[in-house]
Amino acid sequence: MKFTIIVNDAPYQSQSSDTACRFVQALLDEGHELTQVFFYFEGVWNALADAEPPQDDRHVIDNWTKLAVEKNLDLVICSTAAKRRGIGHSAIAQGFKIDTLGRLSEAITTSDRVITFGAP
Amino acid sequence: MDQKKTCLFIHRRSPYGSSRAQEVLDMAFTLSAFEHKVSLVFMDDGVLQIIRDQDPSAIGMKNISPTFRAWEDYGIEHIYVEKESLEMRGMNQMDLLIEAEIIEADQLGKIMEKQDFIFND
Repeated sequence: MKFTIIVNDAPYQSQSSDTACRFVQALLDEGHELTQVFFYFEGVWNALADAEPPQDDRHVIDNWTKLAVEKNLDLVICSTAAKRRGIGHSAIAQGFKIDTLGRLSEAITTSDRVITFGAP
Repeated sequence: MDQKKTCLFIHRRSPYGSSRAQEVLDMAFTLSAFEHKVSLVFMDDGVLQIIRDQDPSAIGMKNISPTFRAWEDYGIEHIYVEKESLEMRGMNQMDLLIEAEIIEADQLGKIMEKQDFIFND
């Protein structure tokens, strides 16, 4: 089955981003396909390259980068949401790219399931 | 499966206080512009998003109401408003800036069953 994943919360704001990352790992392990992970609302903060959490805490952003590099994933942060918050190309971590809501629309078109992490 | 999807956005938050309402609308209208079959539901405090005569200038927020005037041009399929949420806030159809379909809470379940993708906010 083909999945599109949407992440709406910032890292450390809630567990949503952690759970989304583990969900992606699990769906790939089960032999499913991922079209895209789309980061929207406060989710765009997941792409910041310079985050340095305390060493005894998990590194949410690095976890995404590692997974993206290992599995060649498409991690997209919304350009409008990123611009609103002052996040530009120079600020984002390896594995992420900035693109439009139109890319999300394309991903939804080709997906069997759309799963959203982090909302009300 | 490669096809346009039926998408339902459930708006439950008041229009200001955060950028959330605006950003959910941006998402809904973009998907509709890309020819997904998008419908909107307003319930709980979300009904305040479509109240007439909004003027958030005093708090420096962007007025979201002009977005709704273009809903037909964007190809939005349905706009539903949950009846009890209106009544609890002393509102009726006359208070709304768009002509919406007023539904009972139990109709929402049937509407949700028809969707490929539901975004609950």
